[in-house]
Amino acid sequence: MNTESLSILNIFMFILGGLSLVSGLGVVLSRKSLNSALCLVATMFLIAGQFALMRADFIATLQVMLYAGAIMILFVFVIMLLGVEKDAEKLSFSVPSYFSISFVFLFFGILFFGFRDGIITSAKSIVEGSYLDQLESTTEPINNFVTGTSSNPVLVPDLVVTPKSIGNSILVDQVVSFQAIGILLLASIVGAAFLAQTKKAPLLPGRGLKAMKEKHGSSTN
Amino acid sequence: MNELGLHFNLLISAILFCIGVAGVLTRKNTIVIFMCIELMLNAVNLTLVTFSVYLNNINGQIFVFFVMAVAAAEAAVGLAIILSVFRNFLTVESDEVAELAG
Repeated sequence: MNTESLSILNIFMFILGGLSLVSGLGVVLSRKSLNSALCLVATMFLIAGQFALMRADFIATLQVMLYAGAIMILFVFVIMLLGVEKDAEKLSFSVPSYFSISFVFLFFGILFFGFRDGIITSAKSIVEGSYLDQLESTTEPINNFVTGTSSNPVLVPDLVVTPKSIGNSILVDQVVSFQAIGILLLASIVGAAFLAQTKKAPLLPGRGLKAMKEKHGSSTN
Repeated sequence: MNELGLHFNLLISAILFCIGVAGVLTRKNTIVIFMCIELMLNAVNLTLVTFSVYLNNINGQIFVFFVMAVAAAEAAVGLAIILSVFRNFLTVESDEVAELAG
């Protein structure tokens, strides 16, 4: 299989990637934060589609369940709870934001400089190659790719991500990180519950710390 | 995955990351800033999974798993901070909550 040929996988990849760029721009440019949240959900689903195209099924499932499911539900709940959507934020561009946007373009330039040659080669192969013929002749497994020199190609087998290999990697090789993640999640649950509690909550008579203090103080007096 | 897919995914994730950086630097709404951080994390995850599939190494996908766990913890704590800021200042605009810096 020619490494530079355009397979049907690449066409789906282009569609998903382009749509995720559009919805990613929607996150930044939406004036209401609820619209930003919905655009972010769309972006996460499209990236999960990219993961599924790359046959990273575990990560694609996690992306849908954890990001698009749990975290975005939290965001939408907080947006609706605060109810600050009455006046949409005006996108005002001042002098500092021009500075920061130019910084972002500079940053992207540095990033692009790193893989400029590969991008140019790939784009040339799309423009010059008769990719529709190659598309029809692609009968091999899509996920295989060829490495090595062009005269001596080496076929690399698929990356097989089974539950066994995932469990082996998480619970044997990375077990310290796994325990650390558990402690981090516990600490964040406690911290979030502490930060979000209401200080002026009405206490029922005879219950709670304040009532206990009063009872204790009155008994000592 | 062929090289074309590798380069395209790297380009997409670089652009998504830069969109996220632009959002963090220009927006005033704290919740939107937070969502842009999630966008940047997603772009990095895309890079990690792309390299993991291209190099036939599972460690990239395991790393994405840990990134997702940290993002969940961060979202819980960050949204709790936003809630308590809103309770004290009655706003989530980052300009109006500038008590420490001038």
